[in-house]
Amino acid sequence: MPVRVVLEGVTLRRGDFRLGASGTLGEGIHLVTGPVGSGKSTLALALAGVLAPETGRIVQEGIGSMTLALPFPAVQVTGDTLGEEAAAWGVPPGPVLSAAGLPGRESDDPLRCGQGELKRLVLACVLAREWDLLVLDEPYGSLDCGWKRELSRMLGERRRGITVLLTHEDEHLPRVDEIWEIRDGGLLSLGRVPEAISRWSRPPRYLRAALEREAQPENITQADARDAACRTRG
Amino acid sequence: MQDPRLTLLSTVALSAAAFASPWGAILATAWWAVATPRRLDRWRALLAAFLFVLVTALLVTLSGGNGPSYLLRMSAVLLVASWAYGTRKGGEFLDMGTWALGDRAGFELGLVAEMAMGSLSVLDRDLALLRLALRLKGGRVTLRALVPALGLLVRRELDRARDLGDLLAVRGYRRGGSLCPRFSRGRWDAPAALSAVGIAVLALLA
Repeated sequence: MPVRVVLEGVTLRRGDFRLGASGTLGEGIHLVTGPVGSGKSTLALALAGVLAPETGRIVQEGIGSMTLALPFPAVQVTGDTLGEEAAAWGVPPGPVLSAAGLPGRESDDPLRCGQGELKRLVLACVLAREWDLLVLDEPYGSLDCGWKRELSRMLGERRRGITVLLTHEDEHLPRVDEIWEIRDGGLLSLGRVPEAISRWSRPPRYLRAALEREAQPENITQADARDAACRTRG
Repeated sequence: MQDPRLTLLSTVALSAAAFASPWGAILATAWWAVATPRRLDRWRALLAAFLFVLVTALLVTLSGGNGPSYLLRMSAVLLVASWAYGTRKGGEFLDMGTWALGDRAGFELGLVAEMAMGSLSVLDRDLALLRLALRLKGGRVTLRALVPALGLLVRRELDRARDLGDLLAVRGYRRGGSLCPRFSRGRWDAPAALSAVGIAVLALLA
């Protein structure tokens, strides 16, 4: 059964803040962009079923497993040690800690780790499992450039399910299937990539530069922008 | 009730009355029904505390004690505590401490009470996040997963308290502080507090 999430006339409310959202998210990687405070985290909570819409409904079809990676990893850690934390996610600690750049630190105390280390650990645990719906809220926060690139690589390896990437990151993005933008209190579908790129109101600098040279990137990574620029020059 | 001093006085008096005898508990419950808006703020926490009291009452009964009396008295204490917790406002303990015991010991006592109440709010939020974190891991919430998570929560609170202490020291806090406490009083505050004290006297003398 194909997986999809349908937002039917949804209004989300947190305090005085409101966000409207409609659309269908099918299999693939969806990038949801918008400035800080535009409502990405509110939408992430709603997609993961944590926040109920004020009006409308969110229908999940074919979704058997789902999770959400929160922007601040410390609140998501429940294990007494890094090894226990990996085990709590149901993944083997050794390989996952290695993937997170924390090899041999199974017995380390999570409260003595930095934000970046915890972020890498939570993301490695999340990405080590298959999910029908994976919602990543600001996954690039607290990561240095090297780990941002690594995260984009890992995301690019996901072959099934719906991945929703909500971020204001504008340097190290993965290849995605669809782009959504939060504008003026509403979620707007820009469509599938590459057509969506030209409709993006605030694309990353390198994409903007490529578009200004009338290059047509196939996707949204820096490499795509570079390749498009080369093709245009050629 | 607007004056925190009278709220505290009423809370202490009614808790003592309720704990002293079943009649005191009935009168304290009647006071709660008449003198408060009868809102059960934070009903989930209240329900959890009530279940704990219920289990204890059952154990008391099974061991030959008066379980129903214990249940009645503690339920009244919980009602009064729930009302007092629901009406509190930030800064009240600092005001009361300074008003009662002055700028040094009173201020410090008030500050400690404020920090403790602040920690309760943070703990409440952290507990909600902990439940969410366990749920997001996709498995069942088992005792095996819950124990280290709660341990982590307690250690996080201790770390936060230490950081707060360090922050106060870094900002130059040494001892006491100056504060001009101000209290507002509603029309029915004094009669309500007086009746609460009356209930306590009756319950303790009966």
